[in-house]
Amino acid sequence: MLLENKFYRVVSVEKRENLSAVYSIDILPECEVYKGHFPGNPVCPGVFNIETIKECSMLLCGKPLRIAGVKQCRFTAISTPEKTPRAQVELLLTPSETGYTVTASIYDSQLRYVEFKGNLIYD
Amino acid sequence: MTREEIVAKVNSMLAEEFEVEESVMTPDAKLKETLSLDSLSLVDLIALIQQNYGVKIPAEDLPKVKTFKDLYDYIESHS
Amino acid sequence: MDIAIEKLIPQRYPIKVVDSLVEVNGEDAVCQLTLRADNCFIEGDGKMAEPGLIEHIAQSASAFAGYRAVSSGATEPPLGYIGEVKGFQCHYRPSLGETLLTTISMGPEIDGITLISGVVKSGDKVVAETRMKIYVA
Repeated sequence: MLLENKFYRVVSVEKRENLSAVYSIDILPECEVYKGHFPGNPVCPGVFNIETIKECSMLLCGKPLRIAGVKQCRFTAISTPEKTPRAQVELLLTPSETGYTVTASIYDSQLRYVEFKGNLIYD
Repeated sequence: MTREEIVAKVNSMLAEEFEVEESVMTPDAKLKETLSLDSLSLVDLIALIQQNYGVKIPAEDLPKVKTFKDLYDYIESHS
Repeated sequence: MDIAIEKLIPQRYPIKVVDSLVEVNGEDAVCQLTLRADNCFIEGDGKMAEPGLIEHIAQSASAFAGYRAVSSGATEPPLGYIGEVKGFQCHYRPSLGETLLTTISMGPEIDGITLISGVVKSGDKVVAETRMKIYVA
């Protein structure tokens, strides 16, 4: 995985019915990306949140997945390793012919950061 | 382009883009509430009209375009 | 075009995923990126992860916006944030060594939110495409 244990670390998982779960993650402030995003002003890249959703989906279904399409992904607040040290990644995977339709959000006790709906296919 | 053609095409485009039934798009219905528009999706609406009719709705004209009828009128008078 | 990309976008190593702004033509611009091991989206198999393509399109749009800002006298590249990604399609993941040419079209802007669309090509092949809304701070 590209970002597991580099950008985030899974702390716990709460599995629900079917392919639905909430992953609690720590956002790791020492991640190298903050050197460049942005120098002196660390902000979590929005697209890293998308990759995090993909990787948690892979953990949940136990298969390698690729993002074939993103129907809609909204970034509703800016997260930083300082203000957002821990977040929840909530996932719902609905099987499709080639993989899963994934509906996901990332939030903490204060804010919602990402609302995602996309099409992940088996790799 | 007749008024009927504008109404039919605009409604079908909006139904597809915003996933709303055409039956709720009555002339006096409010665009914002009917299509659940917020600041992000408002830009989609503007772009859709611009691409399909070559009509740019500048920010200062937006307060005048509240209902579906206002939108049809705007397109009719600017295209 | 002979403007250093660092003057146009604020992102730096390891997440800088545009090498240069190649041309600007009205509401369209073209940016270029050759995939090297120094960007953080390259996976173990030497291919770029899909979110890297979204970031590349966003930074290409940011370079275009930066070019306009610098042309009108700004000294620092503007900081932009992605507000929404809509209709992203990834046709394949490009590999190390491939050169991506990406066309950005600027759409309407309302209240600081600009709609852009981007198409990423490698040679004749379309790699990825999306619409996106960007807030410029």
